Amino acid sequence: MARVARAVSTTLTALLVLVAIIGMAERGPPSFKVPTGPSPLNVGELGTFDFYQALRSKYRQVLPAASLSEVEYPRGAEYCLFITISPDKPYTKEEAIAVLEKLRNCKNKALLVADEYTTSNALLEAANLTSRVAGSTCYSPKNLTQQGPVEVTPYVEAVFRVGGEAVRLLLDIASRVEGGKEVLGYAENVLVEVPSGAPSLIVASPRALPREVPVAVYDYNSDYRAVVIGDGSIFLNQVFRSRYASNYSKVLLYYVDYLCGFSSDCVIYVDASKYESVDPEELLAESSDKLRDPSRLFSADVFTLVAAYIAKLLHPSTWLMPVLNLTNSLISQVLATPPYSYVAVLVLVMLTYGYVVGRIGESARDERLSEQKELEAYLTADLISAIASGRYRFDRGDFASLYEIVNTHLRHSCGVGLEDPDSLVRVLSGRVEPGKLGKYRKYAEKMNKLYQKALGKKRLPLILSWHRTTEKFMKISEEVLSAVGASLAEERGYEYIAMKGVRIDSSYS
Amino acid sequence: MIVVTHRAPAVVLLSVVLLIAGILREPSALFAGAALLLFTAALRGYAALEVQVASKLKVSHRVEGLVEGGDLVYEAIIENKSLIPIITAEVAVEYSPHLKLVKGSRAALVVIPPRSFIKYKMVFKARTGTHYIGPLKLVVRDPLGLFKSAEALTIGEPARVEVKPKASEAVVRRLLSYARSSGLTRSRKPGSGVEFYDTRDYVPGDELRSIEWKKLAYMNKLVVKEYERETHQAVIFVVDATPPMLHGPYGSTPFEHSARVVSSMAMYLGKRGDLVAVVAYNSEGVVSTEKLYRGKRAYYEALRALSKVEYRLEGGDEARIAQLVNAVKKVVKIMPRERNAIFIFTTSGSKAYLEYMAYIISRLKALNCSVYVVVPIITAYEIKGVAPWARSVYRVKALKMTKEGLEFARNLRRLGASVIAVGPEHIPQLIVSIVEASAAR
Repeated sequence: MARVARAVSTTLTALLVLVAIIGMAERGPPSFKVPTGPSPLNVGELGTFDFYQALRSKYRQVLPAASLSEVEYPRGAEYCLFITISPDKPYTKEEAIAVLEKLRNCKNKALLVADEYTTSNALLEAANLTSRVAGSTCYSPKNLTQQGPVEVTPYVEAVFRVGGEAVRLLLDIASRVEGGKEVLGYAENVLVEVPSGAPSLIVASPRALPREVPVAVYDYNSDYRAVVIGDGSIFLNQVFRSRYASNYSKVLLYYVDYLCGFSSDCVIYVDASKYESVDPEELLAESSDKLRDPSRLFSADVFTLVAAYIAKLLHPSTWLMPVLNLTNSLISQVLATPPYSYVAVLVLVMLTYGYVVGRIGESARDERLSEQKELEAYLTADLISAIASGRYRFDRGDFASLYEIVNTHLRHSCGVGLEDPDSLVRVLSGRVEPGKLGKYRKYAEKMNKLYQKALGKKRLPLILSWHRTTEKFMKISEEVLSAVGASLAEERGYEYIAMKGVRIDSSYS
Repeated sequence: MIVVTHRAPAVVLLSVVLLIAGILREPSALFAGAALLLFTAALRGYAALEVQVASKLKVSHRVEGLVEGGDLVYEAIIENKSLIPIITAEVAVEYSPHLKLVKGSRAALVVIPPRSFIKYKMVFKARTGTHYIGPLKLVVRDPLGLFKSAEALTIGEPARVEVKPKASEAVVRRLLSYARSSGLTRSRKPGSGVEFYDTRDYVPGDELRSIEWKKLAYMNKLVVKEYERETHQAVIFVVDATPPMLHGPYGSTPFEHSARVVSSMAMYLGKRGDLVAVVAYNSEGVVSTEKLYRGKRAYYEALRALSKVEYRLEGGDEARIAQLVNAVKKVVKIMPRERNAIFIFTTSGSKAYLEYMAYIISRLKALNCSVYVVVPIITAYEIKGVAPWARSVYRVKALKMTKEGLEFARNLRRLGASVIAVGPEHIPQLIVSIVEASAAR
């Protein structure tokens, strides 16, 4: 059976759209928040969107967790990984337990914690792992002098082990990582470590010796495995967009691979719930000081902000009420002004009328059903019709026909033809008034002459109209024929006489 | 499907004006407008319902009077089995355009009550051949005529009507008396029969019951009576029903006249005990009796074959020739080996038709058949449909056509055929004389 596609009517569609618009307006304006900080949803310089995309291109199931309640690992999954990068807000104990509970659906549970502060340690604690982010900042010498104080910088160089290879990376405000089963990376030339939140100007003692401080460790217990990195800045988009991106992605993706057991089926959640969001309207507002805050400005790209702002402008809650108010006032004004009000009513009537008539069905002229036409067909239909309507003309051929018909009748009735006017008059003498015999003689003579002319054998007499001549002689012929008991108009006429010549073949007779 | 008639927009406009007046000015007008609009919608709904009911109407037929010249009564019974009445239905009956309605109407407005039926009666003047009456076309409207069905619904099936030609009893009686008075019914040869032929001397082996005892008594001589041998002639009529034979006045076309003659002849020949078969051909095919028949059966079978001829005015010379060939094949299949009389009723035609006809006649003659071609002269038939005052003009104007018909007959004769050029009268006697003469030879 053929499937029939039915389109929803335009009216119904418009009605549904109207309901939807009213509903959207009723719900209020959208609360667009542009994520900031190292959120995987932040496409700005300080976001980790590029890292997130790199994961997506490598693994089948990589999801951002805008809320921890969204984290849902499939039951029985082979490898699962939860990644958190420099969260702005610390994990509570309950949140940490909830995340780890969800990881329990998987056979191999892993954590990737990258943080220069202690905000992520709750996760490690809940997992009963020994590793912790110390929360201190490592500094390296900037200008090393023999005498006097030493100026230091938070950009420390670190060596990371990637398989059998050592990769050197520059860290920004890295923290020592304590505990763990195996050091994966350490910062070189660390002169001092200062607890986070210390004054920005750090000066080391000239006698201090450079040290190596662990900044990345591998940790595990019977339930969980974890890689803990003391710096989240190496995941940022600005790093992934720099010319050194390959080194950073090599190290970071290797650790992810390692935790995922090098399986592309690994289910990965990247936490996006622990970062602040910015309202684009507020950010772009002239009065806002956030626009002037470079860290805020660079936390989201301008296009995202503008797009979000446009989306808000397009939302019905923004324009529906003003439009309705405007329309209402316009209609009120129009109806209050007589010339315009008449036009408005007329247009309204026409529109309503057009709509109603269009809805009730197609229009068609109401006419009677066509009746069956009867047909009486004649082979000589054209001729009969022409005669009936008087649209016929006699020509010379018709005169010749008349002659032949009359002559045949006379020969059949009295044995004398038109060719012999004397004999004809003799035959007629006993049948017509004597006074008419002369007329009939002339008639016969003229008929003979005209017949010769009609056949083209003679040129005279002159004939102006064969039609009139034929009509005239037809009348006299009828008189003559009636005298011998024949007629041009009888039903059983000339044809029957002519048929006698074609009755039966000689073999029979 | 429902469409809006030209009346509906006015009502809709009125209701819209009332509605808008009600909204802007006078609230009471709002109710009037809404009521009017609602009423219009209700009428539309009823019209849609009527269409549904109309599409399920049952139509049956009753046909009476299947003999030409009489009243052909057609009655359509339209039954509405539903609970919904059809208040305004326009019905029109389609029928063969070659039929003439003499009583009744081609279309009517009817009311079809629920769980009831109506009868639609029409009377036609019956003419020989097969015709179709129906189906019925029906359009429904709401009671105010604001809405109607989009298209005419076709309900019921067409009734196939086979009208038999009417044999003239008077003609048959005249034929019988004519044949007897002219001695045509006898073979004029001694043999078995009922008519006395002569007496002769007895020879051994003669039946005792044939001895003339009176002669033996007064002449003392054994003399036996002889009876005239009865002859049985197989006569096959081939009737052309192609377009040229179907033109002419209603009931007096060459075909109808030929059919009438053939039926009269079949009755007469059947009564005489001759074998009769009829083969008719139109531009689409051949109808015929199954075989040669005798007695009343011959008459009935001939009528039946002629009543199956359909009126087809389409088809050119090629179709005519093709069906002539088919008809002759049928004749050859039907006819016995002995000599037969074959009458072909056909009008004039093209040169190719003439040549085919001549060829066919020669082939039939080779099969020891006597073949006669009866050529109705068209103008002699069509002049019957011309007003008396116009006949002289018609005759003059149509002389050329008359001559062409006669020339066709003459040409057939020249090509070796036995031809009878005829008008619409006196054919039966002529044919009888030919049949009797053929039988006596």
